[in-house]
Amino acid sequence: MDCQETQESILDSLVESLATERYLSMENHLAGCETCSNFAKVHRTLDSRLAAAIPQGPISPAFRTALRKRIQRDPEALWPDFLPDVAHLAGCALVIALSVLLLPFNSRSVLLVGLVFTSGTYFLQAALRSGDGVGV
Amino acid sequence: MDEDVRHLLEHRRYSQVLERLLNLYETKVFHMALGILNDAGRAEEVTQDIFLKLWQALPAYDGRASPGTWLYAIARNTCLSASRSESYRKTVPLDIPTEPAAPTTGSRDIELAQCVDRLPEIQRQVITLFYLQDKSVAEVARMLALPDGTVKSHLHRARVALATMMKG
Repeated sequence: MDCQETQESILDSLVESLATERYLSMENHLAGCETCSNFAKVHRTLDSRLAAAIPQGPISPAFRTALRKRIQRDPEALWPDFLPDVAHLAGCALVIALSVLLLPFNSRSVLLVGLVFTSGTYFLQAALRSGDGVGV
Repeated sequence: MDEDVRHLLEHRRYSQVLERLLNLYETKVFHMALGILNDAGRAEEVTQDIFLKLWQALPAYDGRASPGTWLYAIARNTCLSASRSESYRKTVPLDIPTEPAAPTTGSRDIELAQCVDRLPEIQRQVITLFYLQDKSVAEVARMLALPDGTVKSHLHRARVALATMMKG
């Protein structure tokens, strides 16, 4: 390994692990070459200084709260994920109430049929929405 | 992880998608903005812009790219627009955090920060992102949409330039 290859290996070693053979050749060259040895020293020190100098702090804890506030001002946010469920249940409740009031049948029977229909359609639409590639 | 997000997208569970992407990419995107804009406070504002754009674009996701790659594309374009429209990097040293971002672990090294600021823009971005992303060439390449080899090449050139500047 010559000086150019060694210096290339030194720079590569700061980015990724070198293969054993290449690493040994580099170390072998460094043991007998003052120029490359100095090059390695300079770049290893620089690597440590860069790692220490570049900030790695997390984003501030207030970030998500601020983001949610901005999203809430967005019209899309008026349509939450659970809206279909709420709309379905509210619609069924309204129809059952009207049926109990208006249909000339026993109110308990109407209520029972309404609850069975509501449960059945709720689980059907939930299954359709969560099933793979179906009902979206 | 991206597969979970795809699945949620297919079923239009947008709030859950946003939550999942925030958990996976919030810090990475913030670091990307920090690497490009070199200003922690501004980077946080731009990170908010990025996730707001993502939220607005979720219904239009076509599934061609992975959600992560798609988010990085939005982030890259937003950061570059912000970078072009404002000149922050000349006034803010590399290691000095500004509100509202949290305190950082970096120590002051003004000489090095000034040298990094003098690098060509792409070298400055690559070397900053490399250290912000736990020294992952692959992650930096994905963020900047560059081949791994190009990122390594920029890193090598930046190191050699920094060593020369600090010697002189």
